Amino acid sequence: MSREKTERLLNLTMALLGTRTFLTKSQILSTVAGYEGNAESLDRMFERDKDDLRELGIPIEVQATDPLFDDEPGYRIDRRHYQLPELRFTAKEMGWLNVAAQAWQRAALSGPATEGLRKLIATGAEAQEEVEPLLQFSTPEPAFTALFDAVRDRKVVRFGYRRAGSDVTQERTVDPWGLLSNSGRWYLVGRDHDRDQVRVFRLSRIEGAPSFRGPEGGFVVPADVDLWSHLALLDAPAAHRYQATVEMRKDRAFILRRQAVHLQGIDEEWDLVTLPIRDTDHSAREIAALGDAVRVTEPLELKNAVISLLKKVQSRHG
Amino acid sequence: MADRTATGRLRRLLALVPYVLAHQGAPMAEVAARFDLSEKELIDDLHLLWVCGLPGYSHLELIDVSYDSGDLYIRNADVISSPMRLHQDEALSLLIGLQLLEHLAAPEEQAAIADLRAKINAAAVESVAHTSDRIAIVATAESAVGNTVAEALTRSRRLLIDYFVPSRDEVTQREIDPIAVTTVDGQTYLRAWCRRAEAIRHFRLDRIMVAKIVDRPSAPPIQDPLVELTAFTPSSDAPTARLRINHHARWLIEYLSATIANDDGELIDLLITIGDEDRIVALACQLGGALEVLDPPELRGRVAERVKSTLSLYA
Repeated sequence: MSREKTERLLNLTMALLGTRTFLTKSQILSTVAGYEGNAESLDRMFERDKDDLRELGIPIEVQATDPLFDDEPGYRIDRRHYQLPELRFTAKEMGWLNVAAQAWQRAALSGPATEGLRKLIATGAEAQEEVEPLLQFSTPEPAFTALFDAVRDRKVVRFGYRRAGSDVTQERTVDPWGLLSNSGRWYLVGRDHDRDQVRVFRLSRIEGAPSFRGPEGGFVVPADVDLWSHLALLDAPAAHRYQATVEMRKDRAFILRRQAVHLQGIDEEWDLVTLPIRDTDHSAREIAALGDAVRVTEPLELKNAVISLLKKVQSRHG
Repeated sequence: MADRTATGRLRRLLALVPYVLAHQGAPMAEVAARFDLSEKELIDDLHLLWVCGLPGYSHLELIDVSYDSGDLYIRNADVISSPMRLHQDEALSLLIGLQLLEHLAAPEEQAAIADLRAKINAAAVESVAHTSDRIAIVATAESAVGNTVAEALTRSRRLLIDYFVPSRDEVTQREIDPIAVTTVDGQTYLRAWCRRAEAIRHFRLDRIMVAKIVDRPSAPPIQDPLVELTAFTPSSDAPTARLRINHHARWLIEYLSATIANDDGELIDLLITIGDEDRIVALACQLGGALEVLDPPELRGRVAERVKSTLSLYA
C-alpha cells in the first residue's frame, strides 16, 4: 500500500517537474502512473497527494484560472523553486555543517538535521567520513517540539506552568517569540496574554503538552525585541551589597579566588582577598564549606554568619 | 532505521537519486551507509525507482538503475537530478548549530561561518533567517577557556588544563585529548580522554581555570566517543554512610541519590554511597547542622575535626 503510494508520489513529482506547461487534473489522472479507481476516490487521492508533497516542501504551483472561462486549474512544479540553488561547499564548510548536524544527534531535530545534510552532500559536496561530535545539544523537555513548531509558525500556545518553588500549576497563554537555551536548559520568551507582559518560561516547568490557539502567523514579534536581554533579567545577579575582606591560604579556596576583586599576599601562608558579597547567608555557606582555608576578617555580619554555621555543625558532631 | 512511510521514503529517494548521480559507481555499501539503510533496504528502494519515471513509462521515460557489479549507477532521472531545497526544519537545525559554532569559533573564522549561514538560508524553501534568530543556544563558559577548548576541538589538538576539584579544594594539571562539549543538568562539560587517569573524564568548563593548546594531535583511544555521562555515579561496592537530616533539607535525598532508612517526619536518616568523602565533609560544614554524619565514625570525626580547626581561626 505504502509502496504503491511512494511510487505514485514519485511519478507525480517527476511529471510535474518534467512539464513546461501546466497540467490539468484530468491530464494528470489519465497520464501519471498509479491513479486507478473511480472518479470520486481518484479526486480524493489527488488532493491528498498534493498535500503530502507540499508537506515535504515541494512547491506545487497552481495556474490562475480565468473566471470568464470554465477552466480547470493547472499544476506544475517550478524547478527553480524545487531544487537547491547552485551551491559549492569547501571541505571546511562541510566540516562545520557536519558538526552542526551531529549536534542534534540525540535531540529533537536529529531527523531534519540528517536529512538536510544529506541533501547538501547530494550536491556532490565532499562528505566527511568520521566527524567528532564537537557539540551535543539536548532537548529533554517534552514541551520542546510543540514550542519549536509554535515559534517557527508563530502560533499562540497555551500550557500549564509551575513557577519555581511552587506546587501550583497555572494555565498560561503566550505568544511564543523565541526559544533560547543557556547551558543545557531551554527557555521560552514571549508575551503572556493574561499579564500582557513579556515573560520567560523554563521548559522543564511546563506541565503536559502545550496546545495551539489560533492560526499560523497569529501574532507579530516586535521587530526590536532582544530576547537575550529578557533571559538575562531572569538570571541577573542582584547588585553586590557589600565587599568583604577575607584571608585565604595560598593555593586553596580556588572557587572564591575567582570572584576576587582584589588579592594581595600577606605572608608565606596567607593571602588577603576582597570579595563582592550579594547574599550573606549564601557566601557564609560557601566559606564554611572550605573549612580552615578561609578566615573572614570583616564585616562582622559575614564573620558571625560563618561562625554560627560552624557552631551548629559542631553541636551535632560533638 | 529506514523511514517506511510513503512520504518519508519519497523524501529519501529524492535525495538518494541526486546523490548517486553525483557519485556514479559508488559502492552499494557506501551508499547504504550514507542513508542509514541496510543493503537490503537500499535494494528495495532501488527496485521502487525502476518502475518510476515520466508519463509514457517506456524504457525511454523510466529511471534506469544498475548495481550488478556492486557499484551503483542511475540514469535517465534528469528531472530529479538536483536535491530538493532545504525544508524549514532542515535549514533551522543546521542554522542553530552553526550559530553556536560561530559563537565558539576563533574570530578569524566567524565571518566564514556567517557566510555559510547565509548560504544555508538561501538554500531553504523560504527564508528562515527571521526564525533562526529567535531560536538559539549558547554554551556558557569562561570565554577564554571556551575559545581555547573550541580551537582544540576544531584543530584536534590536546589540551593542558588546570582543573579545579572543589571537594578537595585543589587544582590539578592534566593533559587531555578533548572529544566533545556537552551539557548535562545545566552544566557544560568537556568530555575528554584524561592522560593522567587514562580514562574518559568529564570536566566542567567553569572549573577549568586555565587551558593551553598542546601542539600534538588529540587521539582519544576509545571506540565509542558517545559514552554516557556516568562519571558521577560511584561504583556500587563503595562504602556507605548514614546521615541524619532535618526534614526541611529533604532536597538532599535527591541531591545525594540517597535511600531513606528512617523518616519520623522531623528527622530523616539516609543511606548514601560514599563517592567522595571530602564532598560530604564540605557539605556538612556548609549546612550548619541540617546534616549530621552518623556513620562511619571516621567520617563523623573528620567533620568534627574540620569544624574545630576552622573555628580555631576565629578564637
